[in-house]
Amino acid sequence: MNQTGLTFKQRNKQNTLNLAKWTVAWLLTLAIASFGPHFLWQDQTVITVAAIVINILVGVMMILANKRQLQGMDELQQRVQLNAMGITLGASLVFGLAYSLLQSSGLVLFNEDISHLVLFMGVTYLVCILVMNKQLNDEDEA
Amino acid sequence: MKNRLKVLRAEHNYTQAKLAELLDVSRQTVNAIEKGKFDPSLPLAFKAARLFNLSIEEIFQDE
Repeated sequence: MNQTGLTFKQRNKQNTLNLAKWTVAWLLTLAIASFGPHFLWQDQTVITVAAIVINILVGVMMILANKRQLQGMDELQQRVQLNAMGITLGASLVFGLAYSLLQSSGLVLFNEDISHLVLFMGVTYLVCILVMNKQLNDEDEA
Repeated sequence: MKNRLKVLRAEHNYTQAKLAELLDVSRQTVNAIEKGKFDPSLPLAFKAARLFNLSIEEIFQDE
């Protein structure tokens, strides 16, 4: 237990739930900002700008919740996260630029989108976390 | 780095979960330290030493 009066497990759970809430809120504001101009308010610029500003503000709160969650982890969990983030960043840079080279030389005709990069980063991050946790949990003892 | 955490834990009849709770870390971290897959930081080593009323050197030894 620490100064918050919560055990490590309780604190971790609370931080994860808090992050999940802000992530859902951010996704909702992103969806509203994406589809709203066409389906809800017929391309009124002021409302579109307001929706985007709200999305950014909620996004900042999500980043802070993510930071809090990382800070609440123990040192091994933080190391796993750091390694996963490092590999994800490196892989995105290397494969992103390699793809850009392939495209500029005309070898790839597939039209890329920012969502493809987000998906690539998400999958890389997830695989890294799973592999590293599996390595650590081998021969686990309850 | 070698350590006697598993032996000390057994001597005190702690489960990994209980020891993790006392050290304010996850059970996976206790498991990784016991298996020698992860070397704890100095603050965590001090915490373990305080818990078992031993010096750090009596728990952790350099290989």
